This record gives sequence, structure tokens and C-alpha cells, in this order.
Amino acid sequence: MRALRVLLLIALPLCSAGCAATRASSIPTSSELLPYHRGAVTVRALSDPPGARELGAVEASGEGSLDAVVEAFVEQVRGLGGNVARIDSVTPVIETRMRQVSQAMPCFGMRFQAGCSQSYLTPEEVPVVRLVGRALRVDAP
Amino acid sequence: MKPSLLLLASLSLGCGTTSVQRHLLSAPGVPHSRPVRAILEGDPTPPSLPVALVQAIGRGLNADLPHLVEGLRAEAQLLGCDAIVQVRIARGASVATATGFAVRWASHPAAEVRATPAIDAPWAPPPPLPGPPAAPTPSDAPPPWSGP
Repeated sequence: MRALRVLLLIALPLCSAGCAATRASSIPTSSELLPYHRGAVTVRALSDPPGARELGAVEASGEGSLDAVVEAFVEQVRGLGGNVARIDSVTPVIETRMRQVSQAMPCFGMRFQAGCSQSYLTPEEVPVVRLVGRALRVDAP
Repeated sequence: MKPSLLLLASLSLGCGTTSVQRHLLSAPGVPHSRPVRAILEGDPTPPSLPVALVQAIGRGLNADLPHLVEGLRAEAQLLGCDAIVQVRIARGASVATATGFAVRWASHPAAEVRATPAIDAPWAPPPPLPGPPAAPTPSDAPPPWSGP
């Protein structure tokens, strides 16, 4: 029982840290397969640049920093060989996660009361941003 | 009512926060105090130039529509923008969040005169809603400030 409790105390923070990471994915929608783009990527919204070719669909989501979510989106665009990250929609989502809370408690029957605490899980609402868009390629004139 | 209950009630009225964050898409303008329009997603939007992706998060007593829209508007004013478009809102029990794009009207004087003090020209009403699709304008070219 004690071993299980120790395992839970170690595994839960690791799991919650992993769940909090920014996630992103992409899929090519064109037969044009380009190598990873190491140059500048322009982030655009509301309109496509003239002469752009669509390379694939991209999505990214995450909590916390908006810059990190956009950076994950741009990284997927680079992977498809695009130099324009076109954001089609931005969706805010409230996700419910379980958060571990440690609380000091009285240690009945023990001589030293400094180390007594209890841990439990409590639901927590987390605002998440989800970006959906496309990887585009614009050739220099 | 006991004074302690009054104190508790007055303290609870302040239990709410609104935070705003942004990701710049182009160069911001000069901050202003003009009114900023908030246009929900799906509503028609006049031709505009996106400046930033913005997100407002309200917690506690600020997890409601007025605080979120006010947060987005204040950020748009800081960025020298005229409106927040494509506004979307999600609401939970204790947290609410809204996202949108801070934009400048394409026909606003600030769109052309970006780096001069004359940007604080008298407020111009928003342009009429777009008609049939027009030919692409030079403003559709990739912005020169998107460096490596």
C-alpha cells in the first residue's frame, strides 16, 4: 500500500506535466513533398497571400503561453516545407483536468507533527487554445 | 449583519482576475483610447489587417462575457487596433476565455501611415461591409517585418 502511494505521488505530477504540453500535428494535402523549411515563416490570418500553394493541414493546441502554441503550429508548417502559416480558426476550449493537491493535516497520536500531510485529486478548469489552419508555400518573385 | 460578514462580502466581490496575452502577426500601431468594436465569429467583417492574435482569460467573478470583451478591447487599444474580429468564447464554472484577432481597418488612415505621430487622427467610422470580391491589393503581400 505504501509503495502504491509513493508510485502515485511520483507518477501524477509527471502525468500532469505531460498532459500540459503543447500538442500539434499536421497532414500533407498536396502531392508536392518539400523538405523541412529552415527559413522565415510568416504567420497570417484572415486572408491568403497571393500565389500561395497549399501543402497541408495543421493544428496545434495548448494551455498557458499563446506564443508556444503558435510556435508549435509554425513548427508543423516548417515540417511540411511551408513558409506561410495560415491560421484559419482559433478556438478557445475549457478542459477539465485532475490536479494533485497536498494539504497539511494534524498527526494524531504522533510525537512530531511537522511531516503529516495528505494528497488528493481535485478537478481544475484549464483554458486551452486550439489553432487550425494550413501550411502554405509562396515562392519569391 | 455582522461587520465580519460585510467584510467577507466586500472581499469576495474582488475575487476575480482578467489576464490577456497576445501573439503579434504584424507591427502594432500607436496605443489609443478610441472605441474598439468586437465582432463575433460568423458576423460580417469589413476588410481589415490582422495585427495580433489575442486571448483573454477571466477567473472567478471575472469569468463572464463583459470582462472578457473588455480585456480584448483594452489589448486592441494598446496595439493601436480598431476592432477585435472572429471573437470566440468558452466558459466553464470558474474560468472563461475568449480569443480573437486584433485588426486595423484596411481603409483607416493608420493602415497607411503606420510609423508617424499622425496616427492619432480623428476617429473614422468603420468602412462599409465588403461587397463582391475585389482584385487583390498590394497589402496582401507578405509583410516586410516578418524576419527570420
